[in-house]
Amino acid sequence: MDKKEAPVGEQPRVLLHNVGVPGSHEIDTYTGRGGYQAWEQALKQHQPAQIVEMVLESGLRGRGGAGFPTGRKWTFLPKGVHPRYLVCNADEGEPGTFKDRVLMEWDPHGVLEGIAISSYACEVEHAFIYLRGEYAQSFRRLQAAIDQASQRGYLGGNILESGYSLKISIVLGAGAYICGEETALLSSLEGARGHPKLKPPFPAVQGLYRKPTIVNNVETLFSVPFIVRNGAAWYRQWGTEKSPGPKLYCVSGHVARPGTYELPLGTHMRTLIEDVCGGPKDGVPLKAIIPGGSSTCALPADVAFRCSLDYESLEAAGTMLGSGAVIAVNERTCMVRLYQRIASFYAHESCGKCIPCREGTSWATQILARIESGQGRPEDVPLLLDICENITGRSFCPLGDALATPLSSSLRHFRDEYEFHIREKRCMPGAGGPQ
Amino acid sequence: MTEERTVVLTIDGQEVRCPAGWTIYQAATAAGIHIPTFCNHPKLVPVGACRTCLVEVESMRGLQTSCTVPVRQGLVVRVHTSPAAVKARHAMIEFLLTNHPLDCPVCDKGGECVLQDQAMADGPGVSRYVEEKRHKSKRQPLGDRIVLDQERCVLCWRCIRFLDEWADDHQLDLFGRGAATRLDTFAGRPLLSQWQGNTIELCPVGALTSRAFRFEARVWELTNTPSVCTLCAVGCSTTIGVKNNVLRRITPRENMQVNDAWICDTGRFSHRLVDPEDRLTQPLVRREGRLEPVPWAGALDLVARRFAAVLQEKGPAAVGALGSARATNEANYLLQRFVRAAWSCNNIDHLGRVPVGAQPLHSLPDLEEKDLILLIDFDPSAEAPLVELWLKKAVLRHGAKVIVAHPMPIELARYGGPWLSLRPGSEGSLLQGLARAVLEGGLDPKAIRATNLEEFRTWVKEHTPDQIERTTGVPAGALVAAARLLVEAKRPAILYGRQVASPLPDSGTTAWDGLSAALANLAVLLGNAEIAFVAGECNTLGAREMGVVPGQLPGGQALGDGQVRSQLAGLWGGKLAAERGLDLEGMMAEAEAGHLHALWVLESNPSGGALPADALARVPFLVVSDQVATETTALAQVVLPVSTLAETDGTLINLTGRLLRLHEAKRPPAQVQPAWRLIAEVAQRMLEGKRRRAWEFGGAAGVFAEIAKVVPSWRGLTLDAIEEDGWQPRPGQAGQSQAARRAFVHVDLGQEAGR
Repeated sequence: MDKKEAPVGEQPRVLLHNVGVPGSHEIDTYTGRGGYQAWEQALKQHQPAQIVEMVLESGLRGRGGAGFPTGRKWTFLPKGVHPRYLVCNADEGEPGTFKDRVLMEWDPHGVLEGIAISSYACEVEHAFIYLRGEYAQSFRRLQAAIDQASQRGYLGGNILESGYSLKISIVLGAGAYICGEETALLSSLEGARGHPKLKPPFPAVQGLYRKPTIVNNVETLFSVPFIVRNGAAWYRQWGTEKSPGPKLYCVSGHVARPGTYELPLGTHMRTLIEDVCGGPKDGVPLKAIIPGGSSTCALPADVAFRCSLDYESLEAAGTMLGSGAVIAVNERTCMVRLYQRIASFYAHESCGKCIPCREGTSWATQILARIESGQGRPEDVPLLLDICENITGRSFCPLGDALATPLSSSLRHFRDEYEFHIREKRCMPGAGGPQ
Repeated sequence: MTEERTVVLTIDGQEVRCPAGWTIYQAATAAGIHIPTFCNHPKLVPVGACRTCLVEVESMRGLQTSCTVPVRQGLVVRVHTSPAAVKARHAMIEFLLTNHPLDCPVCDKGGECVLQDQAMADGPGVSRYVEEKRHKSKRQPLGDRIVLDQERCVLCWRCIRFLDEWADDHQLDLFGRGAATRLDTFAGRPLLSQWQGNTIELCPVGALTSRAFRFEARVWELTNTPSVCTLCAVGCSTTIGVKNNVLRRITPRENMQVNDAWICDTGRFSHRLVDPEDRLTQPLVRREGRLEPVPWAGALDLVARRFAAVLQEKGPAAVGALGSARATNEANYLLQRFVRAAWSCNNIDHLGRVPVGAQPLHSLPDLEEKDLILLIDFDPSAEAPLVELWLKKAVLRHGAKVIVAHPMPIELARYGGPWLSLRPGSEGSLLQGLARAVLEGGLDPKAIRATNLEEFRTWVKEHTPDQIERTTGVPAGALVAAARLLVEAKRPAILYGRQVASPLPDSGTTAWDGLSAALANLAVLLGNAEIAFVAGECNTLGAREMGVVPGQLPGGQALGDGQVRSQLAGLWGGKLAAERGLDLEGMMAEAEAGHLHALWVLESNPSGGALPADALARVPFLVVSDQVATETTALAQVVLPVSTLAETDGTLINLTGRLLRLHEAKRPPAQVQPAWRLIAEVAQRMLEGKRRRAWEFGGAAGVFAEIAKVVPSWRGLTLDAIEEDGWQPRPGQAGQSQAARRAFVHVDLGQEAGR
């Protein structure tokens, strides 16, 4: 990865402290910069329950998108049921998201240390990394790191004479977006078709191979060693009361300096876009901002600029922090075309299990394509809104909503653009023209 | 079973009571509140995939799939009173129809299609879809039995789940993703399951259609009659669909005592066996060496005259009859009544007798409760397929194990227990070895309630696992492992079939006497084991119960009992002989010696392999009544066509002793009659006066009424009182005498092939 691809802001360097350091993926560099100390400390000084307690106190929330408190998830494991598994969700598939890749490529040992400590806390002896199949470099780096760490005795049997053993296996995904959903991920990990399963039972109670299983995002697990080493209070110096800690944001779209940045939760959107990312690209004003990946609702830029980047604030604005994938959309972009692209992604990635997602996303995509090609009908906008309403909350897993919610939001916020497109059979002036 | 707790909930303002553990869908449906669904099916585990059964539940956010949410005390559910739920269900139907082809007029499912019905009842009525419908594979044969139309498929997974959950055979799956998702077999493989036909009914739409039934009829043109599959001894409840007096379709009918809701493909696609095309339609009489058609009256007169003549000239010892394990109780009963009352002899038997002392299987649903099943030379999948499904249920849902003692690794050898790959003919040695290994395997001697345990120990001492390995070919380790499972089992069952109980001549199988003794010893040893015989034909147990054996009267009553005989003589109009008659082997020996002058063979084909080909050729007057020409009719002097079991009113007894009802589902060819009526007509021609009038029956119900007077356990029963799922005599009457046995018996294996 060259320098251009790994731009790093000047904010707290916790999660990204190894990114950009030459040879950061090698174990010597990693240990030389304090790596695996938290792991030793955890094994020698803490009982598993104490670590769970620390993570609970830190207020760490899942970084995959849903923001569920990590420590609480861990407490759902039924007592005394073994074996149990921990799965690191590295399927990073949400359009606009590329933060986990940065961690896995630049700091694979950090990922392993996070998995190791969390596995120890959850009394897991076999952890899996379910890795997005296209992430070849992440795979090489992680596998090399597992080999190195095992050689040094950080992984394997009787780690550091503690009596605790841990094996970490990497399993490559086969390119399905649905496999980022935890139950579908587990099905896929078992070798079956990646389909979501009924909850309850939740994976923490009955997951992989019908055993208690914790599924956490890469960034979530990656945060754990810092909490163990420095304590919950230290961790809480960043962020808000309900959304504490540093967070990675991957910014893409029409900004001057897109990339992955580390900022505390609660940072103002304006700070991120204007100060950190250098403002809109080529000075073209922004029309909309998608704050957390394509499945979150786009906000008109002025509304977005009044928000701060944390779970509560964005929820209050009618959208979500999601995975922290901020996509900036400038005024030259046609919203119909944008949402036709997004819809076709969700139609393509629908797993096919339930009717509303399978049929609804594909129907919506057909209508959007028709509008885009100048064959829209006036009744198409209310029809699309109704299709979205019929998907929302009706589909088997949240993936149906992942299109329906943002699409219906865009139809409401940018209705004039859709209606113009239908009426005039072309993009609204200024939007979609040659850039 | 613990007593089920009752839950009270409110659905659409109506108070509904149901057992705890039910889903909202079940509770609503039972209370008569309709909820549409595609993926949900009472026999399959819910998946919640189709979202068509969405309802509103107070205290739960959003809408819930009623098929997956369990009921709770005090729950308030809104199905039709929730505008959101109604709209959502409309939406699901609209979504489904966006890409469903509107080819109902040529679709086999039309008329019994869940999508049709629910589109009318729960759909929006009009579609807003104006885009191009998507195209997928049509008319795609999945194998030689089913055609798949992927465009019609609503992806409900019922077929996949059925094969997974019941047949444990993952041959179908979904492929592709999103709108392109399609049902298919794995690349290039045909669907081979012998249970696949069940997916045709399970399919809520016309995606899976039967190649046998395709375009044969619109379903509303069929006359459907409840019936019984007669291909094996299970006797699955079926529905026979007839159009223009031609059998078009056989489908299963739910019967929780027999076949749950399934049938095997052999039974489902047995049209040509149930309703053969090459029927005998006219009586045939041999003239100058050739069988030639004659009028009915002439044929029946001839039969009556010739039997009367033989009786008069040669006496009752020179005549005999063979009943059939594949004919109705009514025909079998009248045949033995004919032999006993009209001829005053007991020369009556049939092929495939229940072996002496064999206990039939007690119940099919009870198999589900067994924790260990040992199969001895019995392959359910081939011999009594539904038994395979009941055993798989025990294995898949309750963790039972199956030990298979069979020369072949049969389907059920997949389940946990060892496969005892014995050499054919070494069953006796294997059982002896098993008994010894069980004794050595840590069975508590105090638990064995036998008077002569020490004696038994010395008997089986020589049958060490190593010695058994030499004589049977079963690895010593497998034998010991099987014995250990038997010792640990709480509710074991040992099943054997006709292969063991009535081996074909020269098959080299151990003699039944020795095997039966060895099985009896295992019963004493294990105490809690059900050791059961699995009958081979649809009426094997009925033929015995009707007294179609030389030494026993109907209902298992002793021939030697003078009081019973005189009662029957009064009823039947004739003097009954007290001497035991000839059995099948005896009659054949007499035929060889030229002493058997006349024989009536009812609906069986002994010359088709069971007997030496020319054994019957030496009988001067052979009458064969059957539906089609066979090796046996080829030897006959007179051939009398009879109705098939699908054209006959009457009863059968299945492998657990359950009485099952047959109806006339289609008409027989002109003038062809059920076998029982032919027998009565011949009897009437031979007899006169009061004795003749004793052969007048109003119909099958009349014959049955007489049987119910004669067979003690049927007393008071009438044909019409038999429910469509059958009637089971009270337990005990079939006689479970094993529990009383308290001593081991000595086993003589004689000339066992394996030794």
